[in-house]
Amino acid sequence: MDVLDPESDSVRTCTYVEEADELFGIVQKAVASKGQEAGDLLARFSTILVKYQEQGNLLDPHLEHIVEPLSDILRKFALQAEATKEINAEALRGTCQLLWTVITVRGYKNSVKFFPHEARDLEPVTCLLDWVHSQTAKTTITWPGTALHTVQAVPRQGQWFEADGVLLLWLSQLILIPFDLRTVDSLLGDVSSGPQQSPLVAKISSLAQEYLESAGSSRTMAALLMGRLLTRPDQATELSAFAEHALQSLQRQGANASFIVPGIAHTLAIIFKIGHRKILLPLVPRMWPAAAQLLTGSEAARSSLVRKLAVKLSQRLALMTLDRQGSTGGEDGREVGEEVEEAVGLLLTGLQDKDTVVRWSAAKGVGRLCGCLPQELGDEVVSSLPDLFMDSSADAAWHGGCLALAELARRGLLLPARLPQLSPLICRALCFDVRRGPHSVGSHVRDAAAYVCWALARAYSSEIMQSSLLALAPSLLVTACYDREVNCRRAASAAFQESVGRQGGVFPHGIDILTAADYFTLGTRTQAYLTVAPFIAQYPEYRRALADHLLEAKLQHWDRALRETAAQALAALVPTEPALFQGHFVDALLPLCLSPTLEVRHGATLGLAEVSLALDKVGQGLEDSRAAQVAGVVPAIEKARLYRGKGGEIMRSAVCRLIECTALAKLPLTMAQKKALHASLDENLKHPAAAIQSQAAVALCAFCKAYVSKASPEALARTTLKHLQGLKDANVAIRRGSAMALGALPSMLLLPHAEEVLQSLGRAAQKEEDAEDPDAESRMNAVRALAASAQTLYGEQHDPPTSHSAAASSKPSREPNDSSSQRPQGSSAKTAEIDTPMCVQSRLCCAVSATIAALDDYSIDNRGDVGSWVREASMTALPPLLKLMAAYSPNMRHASASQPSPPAQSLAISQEKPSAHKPPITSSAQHTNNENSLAEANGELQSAPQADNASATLADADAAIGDQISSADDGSPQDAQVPEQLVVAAVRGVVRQSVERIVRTREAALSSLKELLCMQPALPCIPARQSLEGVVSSSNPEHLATLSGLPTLVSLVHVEVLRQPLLEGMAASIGGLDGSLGSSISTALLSQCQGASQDRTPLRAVAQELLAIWPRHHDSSRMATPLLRTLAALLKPDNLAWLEGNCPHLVDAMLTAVDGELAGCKDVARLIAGADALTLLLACRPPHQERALCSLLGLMRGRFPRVRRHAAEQFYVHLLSWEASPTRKFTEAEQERCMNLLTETAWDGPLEAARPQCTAIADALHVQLPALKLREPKAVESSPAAAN
Amino acid sequence: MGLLSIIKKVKQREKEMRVLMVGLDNAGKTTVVKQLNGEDTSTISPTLGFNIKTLQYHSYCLNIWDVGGQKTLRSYWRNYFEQTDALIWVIDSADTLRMQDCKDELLGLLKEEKLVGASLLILANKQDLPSALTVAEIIEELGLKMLRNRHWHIVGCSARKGDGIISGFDWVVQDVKSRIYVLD
Repeated sequence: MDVLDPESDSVRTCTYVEEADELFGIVQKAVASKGQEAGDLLARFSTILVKYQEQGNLLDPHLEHIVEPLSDILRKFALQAEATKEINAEALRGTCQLLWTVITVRGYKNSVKFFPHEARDLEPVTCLLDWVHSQTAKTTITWPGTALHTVQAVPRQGQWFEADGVLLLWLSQLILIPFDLRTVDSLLGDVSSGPQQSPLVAKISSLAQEYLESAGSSRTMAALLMGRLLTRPDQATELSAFAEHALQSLQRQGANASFIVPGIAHTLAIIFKIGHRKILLPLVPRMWPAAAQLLTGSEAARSSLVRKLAVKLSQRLALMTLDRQGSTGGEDGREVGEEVEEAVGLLLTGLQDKDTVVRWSAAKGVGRLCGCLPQELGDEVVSSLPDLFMDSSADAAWHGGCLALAELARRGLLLPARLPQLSPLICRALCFDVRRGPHSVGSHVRDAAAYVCWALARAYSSEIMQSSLLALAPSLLVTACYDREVNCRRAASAAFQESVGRQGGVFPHGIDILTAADYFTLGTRTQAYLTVAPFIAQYPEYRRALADHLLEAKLQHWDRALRETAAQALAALVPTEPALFQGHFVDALLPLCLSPTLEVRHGATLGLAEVSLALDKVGQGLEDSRAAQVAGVVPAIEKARLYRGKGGEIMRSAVCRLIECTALAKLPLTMAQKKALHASLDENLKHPAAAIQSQAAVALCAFCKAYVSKASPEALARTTLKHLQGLKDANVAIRRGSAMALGALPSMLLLPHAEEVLQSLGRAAQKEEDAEDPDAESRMNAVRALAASAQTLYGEQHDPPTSHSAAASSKPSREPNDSSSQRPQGSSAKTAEIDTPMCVQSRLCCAVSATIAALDDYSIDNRGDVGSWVREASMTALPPLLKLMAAYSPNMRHASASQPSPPAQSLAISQEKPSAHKPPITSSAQHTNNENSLAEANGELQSAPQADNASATLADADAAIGDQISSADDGSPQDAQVPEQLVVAAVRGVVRQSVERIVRTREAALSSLKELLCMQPALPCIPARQSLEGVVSSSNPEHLATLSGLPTLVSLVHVEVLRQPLLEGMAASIGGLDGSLGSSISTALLSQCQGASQDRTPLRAVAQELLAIWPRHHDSSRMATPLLRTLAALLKPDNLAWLEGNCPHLVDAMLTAVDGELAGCKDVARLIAGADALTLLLACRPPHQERALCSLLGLMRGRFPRVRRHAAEQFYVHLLSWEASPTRKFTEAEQERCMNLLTETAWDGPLEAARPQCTAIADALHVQLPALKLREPKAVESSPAAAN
Repeated sequence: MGLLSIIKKVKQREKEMRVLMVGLDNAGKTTVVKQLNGEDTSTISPTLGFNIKTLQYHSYCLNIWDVGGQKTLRSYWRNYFEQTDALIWVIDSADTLRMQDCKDELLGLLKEEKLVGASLLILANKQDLPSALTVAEIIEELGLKMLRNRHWHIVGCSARKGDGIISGFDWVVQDVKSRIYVLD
């Protein structure tokens, strides 16, 4: 059985190196350029290699062809270095960086074997390293002896560390040559002349020792080199010299120690690993005390690296004293040295080290040592391990203990007799979890415990392991299903798989389980909890372990989300053995609901809720006495005041769920209990936390369905009427909660007051007229509740009425139980009287128009655009509301049935007039008589005869309906409640949001639009349906809402019916704070204004529409500045020239609009935007130019210094380029005089100084400035008249 | 390092084998490697130093260390003992004069504690030469029957012609694979 492949999770795994040729190409380029280009090639080279970081072995077949040529480049540099020639440092470094990339990706142990290892390279490479080292020395910052305490802080290696690492590693390979090193030393003449030390060896040794004091990789490589050099048979003398040196160095104290000690310790560890026992054994007695001291010394206390190396060194020293063949040879009873006993002690301490790397090293040491000890001594070591697994032990000790057990198991050193003692410990380690502050520790322990199980499964035959593994299996599966961390779940499942694979059929249903619980299914917690675990629990062997673990651990877990999932998981187990849960588990959970510990009572309450419901679902509801106990839990919790203080909110949410489940399971309640639970829900509905309110509302729905059998006056008073009242409460929490409640109440309780419910919610969705505490959340909830209650009252459950009489009989009834049939005749008769389809239609129209009105909620508070919540809620509410409305509107249904093509289209064809030929005044004229045109539209709708040639005139079609209905939302929507008109208004409102400022809002708008367009049956009367469908179906809402998707939406500006809302939305975006959004939209808009070649017809339409919407937003703090900025964006010089030439009245209207907005304005941002627009309008021809000039000068003598200066600056900049303007009117002298006046005045200085200058400028340009006092009232009065 | 990464490492390690190939000089060690790797075997000079060859054999990655066998080099063989999974001892079957020398070196090698546990394959090379000793004779000459605590196997082969090498390596891979690995 193959173990799980942890790699298969990654996005893409490869089976070969697909870029092999490219890699070789890079290497060739590097070779061809003698390393010159290596630096440039590095980026791509390392991108390719890093891709194979996790599957390094795939690179192996190619490494020879990569490393060999690259090291050949180095070899040439080495020869240059030998000849003391100049070396191209950049080329050398680049080449080394390429090689170093290979080494870091593949690991130095794997990479080193691909380096050349010919004896002749030894000397040159040493020379090259010497050269590099001298470079390093030059760039090294020497550190003051006392200032630095950490190795990492010193930039000693600088930019040469790759070269250092590569060359040291290469040397460590070269040093293995099987020749006397003196024979390859050119400086040494005759080898036979005596036991002379080779200068080459001395050089290597001194270089390596210098690098031993550096940080990071170079130290590791240097230690490897030293280790291999000194363990050569011909280096015995040097070895003992180094040992002496090392003994002294290890005892070094002070600042330099942290640089010296790690390198020395590492070298010694390597020496005692690879060296020959005969040579090294004599050194052990002297080395041992130093190693033991190192572990307890001050360096070790400071650095986990030193501790790790000390643990390594001491275990290797101890191993030296043991004959490896001893344990296998069975000559027991030999003396074991003191070092070994001490080493075991040190390792056991190391197992509890606070640092993982030290524990790992110690665990491996325990394994290795025990492997060489006589059996009974080894077992003695094993017998001391359980001491690590104490209740009081730190997580580090548990982790170290598990690692040690695993290492021993892998080596087959855990005697089977020990297993019964150990397996309970392993089971506990598998669910080790210790709370620490706001989180917990233990996932490393659980992972390591899975490692123990895995190792046990591999190391022993099934006969030996059977009973122990069987004991471990349930715990293993519990961790696999229920661990909080995905790596632990997967580790446990891997261990289980290994067990099943190696131990055959020992495990009941093993194969089935590991098929269900694999690496992927356990990847998400929800799936593991709710799918995998219930599958495993079908086997009784594992069921109790799973369920008990949930009860005892996960339901009281520190992570709230986990407790909630655990409660569901417990319920998911119920079907496997209902009786067990009905009895034991409910009995266990009941008292825990009142536990003083928050986590316990929260989990228990939720667990009880879910289990009760699950029992009901499998048809084995609680027996009466237990049901009564469950019913008593909520009152008991309240009585114990467990709602209060810390965690009260968490308990409230659990109580809501318990009430909901109680109701869904229809547990019998006494009158008192009903009252108590209902009161509890009412209280939670008033809670300030929205999550609790909505849970309470959901519970209220279930509660009323289960326990309120009839709409009696008392019941209504306690529910519908109470919450209707609550909508008007001064307390915002009550308003919010009451709205939610009304949205959740069942139809039985809503029907008697249907009209009032819908109307009140509609009102509550609007901005509060006089509320002292305006509350966007209340309005949002009201909008949602409006849709929900309308749906409850008139939705889904019954067909739309086909005739007036049918409505009364097809009363909605959502109650699945028989309570509805018990409704008293009186109440039913009463509602029947009212609920004629006409009346329902009018209520729904009211609801729709209230929702449409909520689209205009742009209120802001200190949290920002809180109105956006209301608007989004409204956009979500509109599709279902409109669907209902259409269902109750016989005319609409008739229209859609008899006329398959959308009405907008048929209307348009009857218009038959290309929009280009329309007189420009049409649109503004129609504002006044839109009632008439709408009636006309409807008339034409009915009589539209021909539907051919539709697509050709689509734009006109859209335009036509736009003209006729464009002002549907100009007036008060409540007045215009014709369903067809509401659809148009809704679509236009949503379209406006689709180009507004907030991405989330745009997404909501586009989703809503999509829903409206895709509704089944199709929603009639959607204006410009085809154009909208074209845009909305072109991409997904998420994309259309992005900056790159916006231009597509902006193109709808050609559709007349949508132009106004689009322009309103775009203006808000263009003038908003988001610069990139603004510029993206204004660019898109300008490109849409540009017709074919010089044609600017679209521009006229856009300008007209902009001026038409202006009065709606006159002096609006939200829209005035954006409108001015949008106008400025449109007024590109050639655009302005075209407008002046073709429709000068529009320019006139623009000036009037700007003046109107600036008159009496105190908003600096708006005034500045106005100054910008006016400056652009200076490019007009004389009459307009003068008006613009007057207005601009007006700003320059206004009361805001910033505005004065800005206007003056803009004016000056404009004058600079005036010559280029074809509309030039003034002489050069006039212009110069003017510019002088502009520059010599401090415009942001005193107002008194600015005013005469303005007059002077006006005089210079022969412009008559209005008298100061008169200006303001006149401008205000003139603006509305001018706009029309 | 969690269990999942341990498993990954073990899986990779299981696919790798480190093979030390030694023997007296002129036994044909380098020829065996070249033959196995499909390279030209006609011109091979004595190995001065050592070669490392990484090659794919079935699904395993063999890391073969081929060390020169001249007398002066033999004391350095132990530079290469670390983590050896299999020892391949190559014999010039026709070199009857040095058979005792061969036996001494082999037995010395087998005493090395770092080679304890390594599988031993003996390649009785140069079987194509008329004067070559047979496999049975070599078993006798080297006293292989006396070996204890050692998985060993001998095949007659001709590195130059390629006969027998595959079956020898098959045995090595099988034998190493059958052991349970200890991650170090």
